[in-house]
Amino acid sequence: MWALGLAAAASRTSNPLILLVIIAITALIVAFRAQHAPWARAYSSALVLAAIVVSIRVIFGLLVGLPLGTHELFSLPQLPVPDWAPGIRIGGSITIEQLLSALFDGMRLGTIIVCIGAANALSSPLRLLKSVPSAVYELGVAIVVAMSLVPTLISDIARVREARHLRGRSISGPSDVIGLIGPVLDGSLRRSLDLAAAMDSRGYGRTAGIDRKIRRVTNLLVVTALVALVLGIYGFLTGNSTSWVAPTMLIVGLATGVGGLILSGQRTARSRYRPDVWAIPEWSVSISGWLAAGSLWWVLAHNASALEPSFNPLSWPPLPLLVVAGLAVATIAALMTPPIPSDQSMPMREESSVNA
Amino acid sequence: MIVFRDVSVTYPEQTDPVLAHVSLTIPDGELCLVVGPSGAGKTTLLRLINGLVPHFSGGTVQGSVEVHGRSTATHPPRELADLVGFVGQDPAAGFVTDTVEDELAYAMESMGVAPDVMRRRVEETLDLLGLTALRRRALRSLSGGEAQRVAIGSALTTHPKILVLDEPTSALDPAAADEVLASLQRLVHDLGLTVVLAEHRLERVVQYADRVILVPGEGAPLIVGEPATIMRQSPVAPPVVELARAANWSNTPLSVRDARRSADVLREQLSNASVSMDSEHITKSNTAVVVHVKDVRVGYGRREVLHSICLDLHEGEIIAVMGRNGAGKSTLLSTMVGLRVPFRGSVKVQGDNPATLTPQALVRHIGLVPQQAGDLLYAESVDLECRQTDKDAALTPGTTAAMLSQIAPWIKPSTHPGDLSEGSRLALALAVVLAPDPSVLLLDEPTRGLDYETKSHLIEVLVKAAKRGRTIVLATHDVELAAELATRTIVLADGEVVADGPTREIITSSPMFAPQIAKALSPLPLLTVSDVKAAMLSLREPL
Repeated sequence: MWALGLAAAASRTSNPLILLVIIAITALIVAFRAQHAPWARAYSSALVLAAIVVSIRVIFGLLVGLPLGTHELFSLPQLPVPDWAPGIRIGGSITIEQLLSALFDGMRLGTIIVCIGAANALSSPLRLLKSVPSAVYELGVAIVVAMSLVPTLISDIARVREARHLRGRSISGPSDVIGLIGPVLDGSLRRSLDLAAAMDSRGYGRTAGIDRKIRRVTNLLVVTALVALVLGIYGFLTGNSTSWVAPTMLIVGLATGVGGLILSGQRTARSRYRPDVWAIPEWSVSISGWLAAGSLWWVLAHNASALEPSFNPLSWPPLPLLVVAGLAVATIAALMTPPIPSDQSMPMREESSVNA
Repeated sequence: MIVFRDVSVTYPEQTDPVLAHVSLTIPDGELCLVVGPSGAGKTTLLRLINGLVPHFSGGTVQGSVEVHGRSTATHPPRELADLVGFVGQDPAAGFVTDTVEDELAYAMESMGVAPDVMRRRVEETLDLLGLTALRRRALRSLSGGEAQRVAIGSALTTHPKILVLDEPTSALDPAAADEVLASLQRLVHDLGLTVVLAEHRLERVVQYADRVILVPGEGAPLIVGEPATIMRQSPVAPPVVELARAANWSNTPLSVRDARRSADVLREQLSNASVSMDSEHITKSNTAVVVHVKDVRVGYGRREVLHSICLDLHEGEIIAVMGRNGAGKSTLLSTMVGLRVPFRGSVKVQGDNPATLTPQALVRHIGLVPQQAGDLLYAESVDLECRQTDKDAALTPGTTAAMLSQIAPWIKPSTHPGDLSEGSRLALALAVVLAPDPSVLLLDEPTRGLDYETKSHLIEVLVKAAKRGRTIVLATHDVELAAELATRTIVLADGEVVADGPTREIITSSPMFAPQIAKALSPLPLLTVSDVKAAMLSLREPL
């Protein structure tokens, strides 16, 4: 939750200084709190992924994009573009403004990825499921299984590489790496089929004992709620739609959503094993994360220019104090709260089992 | 009660049915053992019981399967989950959550068991399968045997009426296998649980079975009967049964205890025989050192798995590495092949550090068949796989295919490796690694899921390789294999070498690792049926 708050904060700015501060904070927290579990490696893979995203964004921004600014760095041969695509150009002169705008834009996306990576590293996504209401539980499992695909893919690539090594093939050129994709995808498809079979044979998605009518109504409510919420949020964020659409959609979404949750709470098909206690430390950590996001929003509303670095004329981006304060609160709250119990017991358990 | 009525299964794109006209009734509270050669359709039979075939496999099923009155045609696996617990061949593939405790609770959560009941059952199951020390461990950090126990535990927590297990003990060390089987038997006795399990290691299971179903394969009719009756005629049989055949006993012993009681006369006779087969099991300490492991410490992250291992492996030796689940056997093998870089110490294979060799040179020096043998395979078909190996290792075309036909001649070249049965896939991986004829051959659990026939082919190939001066290392739980094949045995415990010496000495001195024949005929130093036959022959000669 905390990391998601930071990610939300990051999505609203392209100020490079703020973004760098956010990345530094997540790195600090992960270094202090990460568990020695398989998913803890998510953070470093997220960093790599973010770097790739930033560089792709920069390359595309340079090669394909609107001409911007006057400080020319160097120029590339320009390709002729058909008349029906005005304003687009491929190649041509490259300016500092262009480079920076692409870089900052890429960094925004990169920071969001890093924040989500931090969320992954600090706790397993499956823990999140324990706090998900049962109406959307099955959907949630599907999403979590899909999310866990990335770390498994990474370890799969390592395994296939090792296997290739044992078979006497070296992986050096890019064509060899591309050759890895086939078996890795093949393997992960087969595995997801296996997993689906295993989940099914252990009762995932059971409907026995639930009234069919109630089930249908719940599903209908949940779907309506999600669609309405998505439309409403989209309307709010873009500010394009007519004034009444977004709030109405949000209200409809919330109403149907709550209805669906109440109805699904009555069905007894699922139960929870040792649900996570949601107490003061948990609340304070997630609130502090969102506080950071909130401080950014507030600054955005009152002084939008501080968050969008100007390119015309080129200037050093300012660092708004309020935002820094919000981020600082997030850091301190996350550092001060006691670690989750399992964090402490994990390494101890491992040691004792090694000694035993 | 499970009722099969005239069931035939045909998978898509195949003309012949895997199982044809199966009619079978398994009553409540029975421990039913399914045996048969690799790829005969044992897994298909098991998956029919909870509806995974056809709901997850595709294909056509004729006839009907009814479980406690519910037809699998109309009930998908999830609607049978309260009746049937299912543990597949690769337990790790079926894990949904990420810690041991959550995994045990998962099926109960789906079933809607009350929280306090769940809590209690999780604790009971942790105790029953000896998992208490692992409860908070991440599932991905478990060794193969630990994962197997967690998978069985998570199927048990819902208290199903029927438990279906596909090769439940093949990844377990002898002690852990005994524990799991004993607890299964307790469940059958105390709770009236019906257990259906497929297993190749008959010597472990057959004594517990109430009934044996023999699946001969290729659509031939099933043979169902009492364990003793089936074993008398079965082409696959545990060593004690072979012993009974060799000694012409009238009864068929199923356990070591039965065999001991019938073996008094034989033991008397054989004690006079000059047992001198030690000549072929000579220790080869005089030949050249091929692998030199010096003071190696290795581990994952901060956890050290192997502490200061020193070993010299000689030319022509066959070495069995044994030890508990999680003792560090697989880690030792992957360090020898250079996949793990030791924290300290060094590994030398014929004077070179395997980690720095190019892959092309590596396959000639040292080959490893990992536990997940399927990882090695990536081509579209068995045929392409063989040709790829020939090309990679610069062999004369056809070498790998020839090797495969020595080990497992029945594998069709056009099959996709992923569609092979677990045992056949292992056979293919073995062929792929054996073909370049590396001077050192490391095999991690090489007999997992292999039937007795394939196993004997493999033994033949390995013995030949050792005669040519190749060094072979087997990390295995299969004591019968070690007894038959290995000249030297190393026992690992907790990352240290606790015993190292001639196989005969090591495995007869420990009741845990002793093979059936050694137990039945102790104190005679005979390990295998062929030892016994040789001893009987030497008795007759003077007469």
